[in-house]
Amino acid sequence: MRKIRMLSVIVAVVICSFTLGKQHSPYYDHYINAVNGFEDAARLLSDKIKKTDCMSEAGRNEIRQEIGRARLKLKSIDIWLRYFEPVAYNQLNGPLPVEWENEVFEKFEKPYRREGAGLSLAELYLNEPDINKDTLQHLLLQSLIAIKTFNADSITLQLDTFDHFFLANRLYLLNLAAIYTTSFECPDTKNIIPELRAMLTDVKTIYGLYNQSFPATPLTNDYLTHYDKMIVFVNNQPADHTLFDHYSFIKDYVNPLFAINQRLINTYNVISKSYNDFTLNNDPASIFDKGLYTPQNSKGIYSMVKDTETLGEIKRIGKLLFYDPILSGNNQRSCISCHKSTQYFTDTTRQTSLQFNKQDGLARNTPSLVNVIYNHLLMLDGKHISLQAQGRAVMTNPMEMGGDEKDIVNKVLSCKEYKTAFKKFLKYTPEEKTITFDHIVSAVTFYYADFSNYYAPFDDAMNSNKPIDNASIKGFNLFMGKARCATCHFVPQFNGVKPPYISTEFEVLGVPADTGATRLSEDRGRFDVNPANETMNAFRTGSIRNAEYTKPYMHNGIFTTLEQVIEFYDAGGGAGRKLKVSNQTLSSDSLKLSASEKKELISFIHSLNEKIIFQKIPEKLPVSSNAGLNVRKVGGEY
Amino acid sequence: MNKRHLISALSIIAAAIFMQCKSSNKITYNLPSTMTKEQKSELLEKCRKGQELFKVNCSECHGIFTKGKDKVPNFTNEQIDNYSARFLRHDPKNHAVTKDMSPEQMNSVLMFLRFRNVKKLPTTVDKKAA
Repeated sequence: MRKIRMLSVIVAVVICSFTLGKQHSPYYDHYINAVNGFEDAARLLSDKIKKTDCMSEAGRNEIRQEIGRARLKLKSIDIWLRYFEPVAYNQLNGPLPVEWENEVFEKFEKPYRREGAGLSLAELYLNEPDINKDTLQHLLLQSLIAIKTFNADSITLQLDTFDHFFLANRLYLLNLAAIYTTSFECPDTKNIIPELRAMLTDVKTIYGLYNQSFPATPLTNDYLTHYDKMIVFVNNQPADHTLFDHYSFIKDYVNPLFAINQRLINTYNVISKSYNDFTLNNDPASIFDKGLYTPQNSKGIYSMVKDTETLGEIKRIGKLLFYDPILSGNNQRSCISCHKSTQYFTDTTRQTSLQFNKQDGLARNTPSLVNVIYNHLLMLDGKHISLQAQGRAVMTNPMEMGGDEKDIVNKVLSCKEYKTAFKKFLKYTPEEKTITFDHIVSAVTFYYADFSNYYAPFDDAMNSNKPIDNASIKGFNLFMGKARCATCHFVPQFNGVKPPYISTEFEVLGVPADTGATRLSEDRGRFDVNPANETMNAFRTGSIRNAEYTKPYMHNGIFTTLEQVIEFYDAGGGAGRKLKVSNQTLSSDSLKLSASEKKELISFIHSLNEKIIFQKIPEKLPVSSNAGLNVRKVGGEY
Repeated sequence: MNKRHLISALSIIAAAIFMQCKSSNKITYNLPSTMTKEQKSELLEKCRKGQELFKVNCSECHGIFTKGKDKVPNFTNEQIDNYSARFLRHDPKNHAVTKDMSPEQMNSVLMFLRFRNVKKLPTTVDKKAA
């Protein structure tokens, strides 16, 4: 009986799959048609290049127009393509000829090289003095190969379920906030807003077809009506992207839509199968919530500890260690020797911090520890993949704290207070039989990571509509538009981590060795970690949060005021000041900022000052059984 | 006198055999021959940590260390790889305990499982079930 019932079910399923198998939803069909539509446009463009004289300006203009048409086709399906296969997308519309990627889930591997191709690079190439048709064609040929990826089963099968939709839409909203309205990958800035308008309308069509195809898990009416309002807003904005109101666009439209989309992800119990969602969290209802993406793991070896009492105790010990020079080779330096808790955990008094020998300066400026957890790679050259690896390296570096691993452990354990505490924590780390250096380092990282959880007035304006002064708003609009800052300092952390927030970017700015900009800084930066033409003199993009309080600036601390920094960018970096920087990633053209615009930019930067509550310095340090160690001072001597 | 000697000799032999058995029960590792000495000792240390973490967090259900079940389960390389991939992309169906582990800790567990010497290859088809 049971067998017969089973059999009939199987027969029914087989019949259904025959009759319905070839039928796809309108949503699915639209995807296939639109992807093919882009392929046709790219092929037309390729034919155009074949027939057109690239040497004449008239011919180049014809090609530019054809590129514009292909770009619109691409933008109409950007919401899908970027999410489904970002590597292939890089061949359709890559921002740079070569990029070195090091993504969170690849952290344990070497960075790998990705070549870009496609429309943006072809458009840029057209502006070069000598044009080789084959090179131009090659950029398009790569696109024509890459677009085939998007017809693969592994991708199209996802279109039959609803999960991918809300995740792709989330990435789309994040890109609306961080990338689409900047000149990140749109060489002709005249087209930014017209392309945005077209894209918003095309995505609305996709929304409609999605709701028709998945009536059980629809985009809700509140989302759709708000989306319509966004389209009206953008259509009423000036077409010039330097006059576009980025602030209202994100605060009043993109961010509320993001909140609804997050709600739907949770309501429909959406499940991700893409590495694009690796760090993104489903709970935050605002892009400016610090929980938007998973930061560095500050707990380290104590990852499995959950009870708040023990965590508080680890933090208390971590704080004592942070101020304790026992972690250094000569018992005279502590973490706060360079990361001063009274100065946003950096040293604002020196261009670069003192070396262990008390005489010379280190090669690089001390970065603030505030918000450092939102970088996937640490140090200005991205040498370290975890806070713990970074902490270990600094304590044992002969030029910094000059300690020895075993020696540090012994000294720490000679203090009864430390020893009792660490012994108590040992049960949470079954893989370790004894107290190790890792236990000590993890307590320290767990302590200081807390200072990254505060918000600035700008966040409050975005998150809860608190008023903010006009100059800051104007400054933010400049930051996103004319001044082009946002093409490297991405929303919301304003560091080098862009949606989907899985990798960390490095840039070559041509920072000089002196304020007069007579020669380039000799620091090779990222090259020391990953030698390549593109990484020479490249440094990790820092966050501009709290910048008012974290002077001096740049990797070598060469600038002491924000005004100097803005002047440097306004002049087109090192190359703009006639230094020889063959691989500069910053345009060498002047930004042509007026004096009042520069002031507004600084107002915006000030609105990113976080209201951090710093703690009191501990009055005394744990007593050691080694009397010689008990003369050490809280915080060390230099 | 002779008898006493014999007994003590026998007991020493018995102890030696016992020790032999015990040490053969100890987990050994099959490391790639191309590895340098330093790499090997680093990996072995990882495996040791992984073994401890497995014992505490996993063996209650996957009972390698439970009495009488010390030869099971022998995960296949494919299973280990799949688990690793699922961990990497934060699969919501992952075991709760692995969600709390740091990547380094999870990596140790996976290294332990991968390089552990497995005497009997796991059978993919159970005849009785078929």
